Amino acid sequence: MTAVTTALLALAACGRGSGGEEAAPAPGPSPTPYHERTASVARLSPVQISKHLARTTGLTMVFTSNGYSFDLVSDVLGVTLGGVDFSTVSEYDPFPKVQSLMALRVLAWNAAGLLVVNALKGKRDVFPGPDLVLVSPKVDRTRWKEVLTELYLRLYSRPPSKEEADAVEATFRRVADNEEGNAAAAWLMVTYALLCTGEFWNI
Amino acid sequence: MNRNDPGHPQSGGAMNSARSGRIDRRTLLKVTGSCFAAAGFSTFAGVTGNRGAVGAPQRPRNFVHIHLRGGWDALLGTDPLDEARFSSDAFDVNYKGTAPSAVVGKDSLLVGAGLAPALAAFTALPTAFVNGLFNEVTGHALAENYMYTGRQSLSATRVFPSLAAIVGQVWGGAPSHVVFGASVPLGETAFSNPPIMAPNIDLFAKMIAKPDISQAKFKAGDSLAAGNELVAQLDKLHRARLPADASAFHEPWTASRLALEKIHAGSFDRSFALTDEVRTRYGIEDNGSIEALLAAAFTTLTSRFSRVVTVNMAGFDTHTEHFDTHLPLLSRFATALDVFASDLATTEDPAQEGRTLADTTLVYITSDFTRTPTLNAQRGTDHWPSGSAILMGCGVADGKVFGKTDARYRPMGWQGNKAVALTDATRLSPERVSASLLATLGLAKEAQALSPVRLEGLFV
Repeated sequence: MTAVTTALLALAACGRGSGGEEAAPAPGPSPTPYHERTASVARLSPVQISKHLARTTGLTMVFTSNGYSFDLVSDVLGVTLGGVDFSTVSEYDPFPKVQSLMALRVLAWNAAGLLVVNALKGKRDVFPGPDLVLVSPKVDRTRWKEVLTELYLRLYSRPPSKEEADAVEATFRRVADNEEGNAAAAWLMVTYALLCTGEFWNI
Repeated sequence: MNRNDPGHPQSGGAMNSARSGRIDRRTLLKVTGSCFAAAGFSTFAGVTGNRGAVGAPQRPRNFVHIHLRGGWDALLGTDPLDEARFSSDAFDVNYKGTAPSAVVGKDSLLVGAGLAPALAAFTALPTAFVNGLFNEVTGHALAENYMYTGRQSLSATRVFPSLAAIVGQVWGGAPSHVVFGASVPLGETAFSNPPIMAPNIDLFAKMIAKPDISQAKFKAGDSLAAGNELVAQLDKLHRARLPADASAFHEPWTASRLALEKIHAGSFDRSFALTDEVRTRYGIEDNGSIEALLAAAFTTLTSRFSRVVTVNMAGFDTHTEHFDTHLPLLSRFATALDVFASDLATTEDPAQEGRTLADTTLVYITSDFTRTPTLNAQRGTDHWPSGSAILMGCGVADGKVFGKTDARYRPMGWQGNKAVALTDATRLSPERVSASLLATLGLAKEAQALSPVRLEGLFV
């Protein structure tokens, strides 16, 4: 069974509801600019992805030439992320492809790098400053959790659950151990991971 | 797959002659390559006749569509002047300057000067030619799409998927289809099963590489793995909290993530980094050249990155100085095709132990249309309303020529495997060839949708 077939079956199952209940009516036209796939999930368009990244991480990929603005996320990665004509593409097949994730991972990596480097330079975007990006759970676990919560609030608009905080901490410690205790390297990898999740790219 | 897996091209396993019982390509090249190259002979000279099939014929499990953009000259390729047409005034005198070459052991296959460098490849692999394809459209975009898709459409808004895109969609995989060179018509598969496309092999390798962590000066490669494992953990925790409909929505997201991790874990980008040995063997000077794109197609199969590849090569639309431009270009293609076919014949299919890639791969070579048999005022050739194609590899009826052009190079009808007068009922259309091809690839439903009429005998 292909991934697409699985996906379509999953979507069909959504419509049927649980326990053999009658299919719920399809949601009406969205009052928002997002593309709602179910009552609970919407996938971002390339333009929205660009704005989402700029708002949450400070990574802007817009440049101006001869008075015209170009958004590299939309213009260069637009097709990969869902198509120039995102509405049409989304109607045909709303699901991301491996190519979409390739592009998102690269964007996530660039955004994570920018965040950590900016923090080390003292610029305030997501991380409040260089001292915090250097915080490690080995040294000050309470403060480290506060930084993680701040990061979660900025990226996901919610604090982490206990399980999530534990998973992130385990990864942080593993990377820090790998990198001779370098907390900035561990924050970079953790931030990259947080930017790669389905939750960040689908609302 | 990692580099230690037997099928990985850098492991040496694919060439394991001891296991496959075939001649090892490296050994072959070591022994024969240099002297053949120096003498201008084919790299196939030592392989011919050594390809013995293992067991009963099988259905192809790999498909490679090579399209030469712009319209090729079949008089220099699959449909050269034979004695019967030698005295016809329909052909430029330059075509009469060289006698066609017969493929060794396959007397029916006559090859013009442009494809002569691939003679040994046609000997070694099951090969069939199709000439006199009926094609009334001679505008590039329409004709190209016709040959890609097997459907003639004059619509500017309705795009049908190419044969390779259909095969990729049905066979599945992520990616289901790879395209090297310019883009191809995808139809609805652009949404459901988009290929990974790149104009050259460098960009392709960059596209499938992991995020470049080298600039971050990480000391341990394990750090990126830790990050990716965290992504999977967080996705799982997130989905557990979601309502059922939203959780189901993330299924394909997870499937894509797993596919991407497989690509990254396989370090496929390294497979597509051309070694000096490959560059020398294919004669690659430019990473977007004919030679490089064919090398990339071969790597796609050996690395198991995808089973379906389209390669398209531009430059064949030679409206000026035809014999100084088209002939060398076609010869370059034939030389690269010879190496590509040699690679297929001497390399074990990583997914089919005991079978070479030539045993499991169907290669379909097309162009927009053929070219006028006379020269224009600029000594070039123009578009001619006919087509031709080459089929090689698994399942192909060896040594056969289907279709025919007449004494004035016009397509004839084809019925009962004989040339007959051209009528609506007898014309040999690309639909017939394409439907036969899809059927032999196991896509009976798609073949039927394309055309109920097949080209009988094209495949065994």
